Amino acid sequence: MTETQLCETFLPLLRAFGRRHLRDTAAAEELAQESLFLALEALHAHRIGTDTPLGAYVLGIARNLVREGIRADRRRRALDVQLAPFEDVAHAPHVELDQHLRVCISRLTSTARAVLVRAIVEEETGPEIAEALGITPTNVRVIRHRALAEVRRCLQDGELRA
Amino acid sequence: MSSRADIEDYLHGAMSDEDADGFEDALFASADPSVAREVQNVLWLSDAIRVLRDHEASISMTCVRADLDAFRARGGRMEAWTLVDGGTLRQPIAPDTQLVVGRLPLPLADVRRVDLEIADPDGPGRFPRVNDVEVDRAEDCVWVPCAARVALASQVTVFRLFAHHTDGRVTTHQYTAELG
Repeated sequence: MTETQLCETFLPLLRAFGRRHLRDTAAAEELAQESLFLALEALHAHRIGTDTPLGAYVLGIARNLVREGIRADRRRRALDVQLAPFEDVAHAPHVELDQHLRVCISRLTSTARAVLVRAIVEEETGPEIAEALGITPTNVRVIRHRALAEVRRCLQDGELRA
Repeated sequence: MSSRADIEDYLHGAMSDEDADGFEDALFASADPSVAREVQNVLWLSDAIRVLRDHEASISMTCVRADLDAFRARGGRMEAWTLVDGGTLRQPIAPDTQLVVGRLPLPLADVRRVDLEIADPDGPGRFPRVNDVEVDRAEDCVWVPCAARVALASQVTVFRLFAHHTDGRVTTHQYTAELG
């Protein structure tokens, strides 16, 4: 796997890992970039053998950083340069899409909108949302899946984004 | 192995820690670019929704006063414009304003549902009409938030409310906002 492929493949996974474990978007981004930096560093230093499972190696780095409580500003500047091509526009929401997204979300039920705000913006867990809205965690899960699928469909119908 | 639903459950706290550990192991072991793109897609939509709420006070077309209060509490700078039914309000936007909120007065006592359309002055709706929007019954109005940069780009915006009354009548109310 080339460095480019490594970045393209693992950066999203590391971002997801960070969101799950840190529940903080900025901290998750920092974790993802630091993990990737350490993986690239190991790759350059030939510390990752050809028979070493790369995915497990990268995940191991991320888990260690979470355990240690990452703080790695010292490496950020170098990393920013290295990862610049991967800070792609697709990752940053476009303001121009806001109005279309609002229309799509406005078509949902008020319960679905409340679930999305609590799950995504407030980062509440399923049981927390269920308790607040007086529904079951299973219902929360189903409503969230359907709402997100509906929003995606709506955006795609408008040929806004795949 | 990783469906979009699994990724959403993993991200949004609907997966136990034990299951999440196993999910991560499989996710990273696969090192599958198509799965990575799917994860990126899920993250993109989450980010877009979060940014929408942060920038525009609400994730839907209309909002209530509590949303605006929360926006201000987060340090957001907003202007509220009270528009006139059947009239045009001409007003400049202050340079540091982030959010412009149109307050559309509408007596709601006998109204069971309100639909909203946003249009250019001489054209059709910019978006499909949105049915059954959230209204503010305490203040007899509908609040429509809009990022200042979007409002600046629009120059003139026409808001149409379609009020569905309890007796079956549907009345149309038009409000125009123009940058002065």
